Amino acid sequence: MKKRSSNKTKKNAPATMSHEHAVYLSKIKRKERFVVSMRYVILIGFLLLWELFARIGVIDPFIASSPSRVVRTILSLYNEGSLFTHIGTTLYETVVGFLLGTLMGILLASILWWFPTANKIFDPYLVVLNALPKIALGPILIVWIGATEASIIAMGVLISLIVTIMTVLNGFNEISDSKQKLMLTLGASKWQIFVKIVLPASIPTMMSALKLSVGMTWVGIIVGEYLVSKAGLGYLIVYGGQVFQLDLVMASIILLCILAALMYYIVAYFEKRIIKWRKH
Amino acid sequence: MEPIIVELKNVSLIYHDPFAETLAIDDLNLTIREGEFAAIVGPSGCGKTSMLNLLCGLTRPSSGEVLLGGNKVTSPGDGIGYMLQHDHLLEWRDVEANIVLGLEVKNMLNEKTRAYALDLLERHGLMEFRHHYPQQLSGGMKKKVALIRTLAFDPTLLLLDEPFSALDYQTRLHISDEVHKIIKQEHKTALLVTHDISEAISMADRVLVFSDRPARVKKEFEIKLNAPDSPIARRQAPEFRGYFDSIWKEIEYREKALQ
Ligand SMILES: Nc1ncnc2c1ncn2[C@@H]1O[C@H](COP(=O)(O)OP(=O)(O)OP(=O)(O)O)[C@@H](O)[C@H]1O
Ligand SMILES: [Mg+2]
Repeated sequence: MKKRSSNKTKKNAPATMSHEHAVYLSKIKRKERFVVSMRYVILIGFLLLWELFARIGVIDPFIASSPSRVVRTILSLYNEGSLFTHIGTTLYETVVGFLLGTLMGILLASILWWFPTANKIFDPYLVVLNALPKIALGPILIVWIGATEASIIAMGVLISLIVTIMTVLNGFNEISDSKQKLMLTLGASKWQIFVKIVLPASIPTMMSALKLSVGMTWVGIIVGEYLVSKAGLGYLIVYGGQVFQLDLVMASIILLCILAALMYYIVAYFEKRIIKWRKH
Repeated sequence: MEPIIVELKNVSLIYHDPFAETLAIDDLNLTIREGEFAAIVGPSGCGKTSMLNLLCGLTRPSSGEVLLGGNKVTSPGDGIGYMLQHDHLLEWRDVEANIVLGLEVKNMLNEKTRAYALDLLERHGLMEFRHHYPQQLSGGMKKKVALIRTLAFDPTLLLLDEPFSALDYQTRLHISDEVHKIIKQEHKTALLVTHDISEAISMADRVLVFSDRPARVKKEFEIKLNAPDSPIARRQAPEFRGYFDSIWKEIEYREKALQ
């Protein structure tokens, strides 16, 4: 919506603008610049204070670590050659879990849309499953699947799946009856209604479901790694905690932050691209 | 006389829901002839939309027969174009992709039919908006695009269910004029449902006044106006007032009966 209107103003912007409009535009730009620079100031300020307090002993670097120790830890992981193994393991599990969860979620939502009676039957089960903290199922997964990577991925899928189903199904069900009536008057089959109306109209909902489920998948994967793994960032965090190496814990958390943010932005980028492509 | 296109014979329709059954239409008889422009006015909830749904084949009558060109209507076919109250252009499709939706759904989309749809666009002054998206069009233009989408698969009968009710008054006058022109130029038979008596008289050759639910034809008016064949001009005809008063009385009579 926002994008659309900004596109419009851009298109309709007159070649020559009034002085007031120029002032208005520069005001907006200044504000934007302020917001962005404040973000950097906070990040850099935080890192500097952290380092400073650790050095002068306000906080105990053994417990709270410090930016320089984090960097050193990451470097030593790199030198050992295990840095990318851990990152790669976690990333692989997350991507696979995310894709599986999303595809299965959309597929199951489609099936439930197609069979309204099934939708009604399963509704309370979905609600309960949604309310259930999926992490509680961890031990069961380990017993059933084994203490392997498959369990970790299953955890990631499990956590994101129900939300994806519910969000996407909601999107499907929100397509107005009169849009479907239009298709019916044209003699459309259910499949045509699904493909030509329901799916394309719910792309925005699906994209926001994806953004939600990326975050959920990370939770599932890290918890899964806590429980079973021999490698990965979640493993490093647990291991670091057990041997009281807080530098390792902090370093892994920071790597995790960066990866999670990166993945979120990739999904958001695809969302933008798809919405643009859909309109052109 | 022109041949009969649509015929309703003793049609009744009952809706069932968990709380009650509703007799929406009872023993309705109605014929529409080729090339005719008929309008239906009637009180809210009397069963006008239900009747259009029957004609289109979206619902089946509880009893009686719905005939299109002599054949029983059983499901939405290619012979009928139904224009709903809301235009429902698909916002992710441009104008061209929107107007071929019906052809696409009916598996009739090929070079010839696409050319026909584009020709409609051209002839009715919308060619320059061919690659525009619905959100870039005005309300009136959207209606015209929706009409062209309905005409693109060349139906014999057009059903219009309060197509202008979402528009402001000025646009409404203007668009009803254009829609009328398009329908006449394309030689279509049309059945318009509206709440607006003036609109009905200005556009139609025949106005049917429906009774309260269950719907029946209460009174029919052949509209003969001494004016050029355009709704705006027809509103100026000396006979217009008389028709308006008679139809108004039919509806007012009902209001009194209700109280
Ligand atoms: N699907 C349905 N199930 C049950 N009752 C219905 C259904 N559709 C319509 N009705 C009822 O049938 C009657 C006729 O409805 P219909 O929509 O045909 O009226 P209408 O003349 O088009 O009204 P309006 O002028 O408000 O558009 C109404 O009383 C309505 O409540
Ligand atoms: Mg209606």
